[in-house]
Amino acid sequence: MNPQQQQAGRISAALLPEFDHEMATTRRTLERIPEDKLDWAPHEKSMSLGRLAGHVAELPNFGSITMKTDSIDLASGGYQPLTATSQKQALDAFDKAAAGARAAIAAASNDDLMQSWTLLYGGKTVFSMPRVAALRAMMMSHMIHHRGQLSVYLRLHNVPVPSIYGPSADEGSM
Amino acid sequence: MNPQPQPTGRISAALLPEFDHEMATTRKTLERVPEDKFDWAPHERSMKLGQLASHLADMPSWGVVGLKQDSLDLAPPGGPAFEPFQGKSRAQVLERFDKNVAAARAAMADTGDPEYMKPWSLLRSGQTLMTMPRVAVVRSFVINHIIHHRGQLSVYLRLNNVPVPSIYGPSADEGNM
Repeated sequence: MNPQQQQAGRISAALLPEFDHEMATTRRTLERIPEDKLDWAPHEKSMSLGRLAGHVAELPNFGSITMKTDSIDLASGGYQPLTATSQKQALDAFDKAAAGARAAIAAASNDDLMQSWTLLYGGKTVFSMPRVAALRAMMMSHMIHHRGQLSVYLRLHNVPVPSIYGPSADEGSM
Repeated sequence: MNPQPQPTGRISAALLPEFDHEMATTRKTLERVPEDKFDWAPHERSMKLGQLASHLADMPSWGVVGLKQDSLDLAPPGGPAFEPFQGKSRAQVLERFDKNVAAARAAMADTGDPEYMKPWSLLRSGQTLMTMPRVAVVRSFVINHIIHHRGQLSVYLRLNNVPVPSIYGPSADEGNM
């Protein structure tokens, strides 16, 4: 088999173009967070802008965690939530997390990706699914969800919202 | 007998559990839109709540467009431009969403692996804006796009003191691990 044929049946080869596209859009969004508003929240029950940006920045870490473990327990105390105190801090954390996730996915065989992965909380199983599905849910979809929230936070501060899946009211055209 | 159409290929078998899960969470979110706030928007440049909910109800139909057509022209030359759905009530939004989800699910289940890899194009006035495999249309234009706007809708709910459902984990209002 030539290298192209080897790539053709690989799940990772199908994941990476979408990964690169979504991570580029996320970075563009994080590049716009207003540093003087990191303590602001739109509602008393909402995350602050700094915490939401930190959460978006740290979520790609799930990519390497999922590939390097068989399970994690969220109640084990190992998770240190990131609250961004500057734009640079959020971007540095994001770049590191995204690079680690990309390398872990690129190195993964189909067997690695189809192996079951479990999320636990205090020893109780929250879900078990093939790693490829866990990557989608915990990393990609989860990040897209919070990035959507962050786009509303930006708008509320009159920060131009980047084009994400199509033009925003501020930018982009079809 | 299972009433849901069964997948015909490996790609649809991989997509459908995720599609079902995400559509269920989306419905749970849409069930909460406050009808008396359809004209509310958090900012003058933002979509109104009714528009955002209607957009979410519309989007699953693009799964059918992405799998059963070769392309979509947003402003076909000589034809009418794409008209977004404008729901007037929560019931209308949910009815539209359910209908579109059922149709998209059937189209996804009915599509074999080779068809998922066929190219699909988005056009405006006859000009191609982008071309991608049909599986990417389902993934990006339908599923990711819905997740994005559902995230926005969750902020709209919070700002109107509507309890936010658990989406990928507990919200400040509901759910625990």
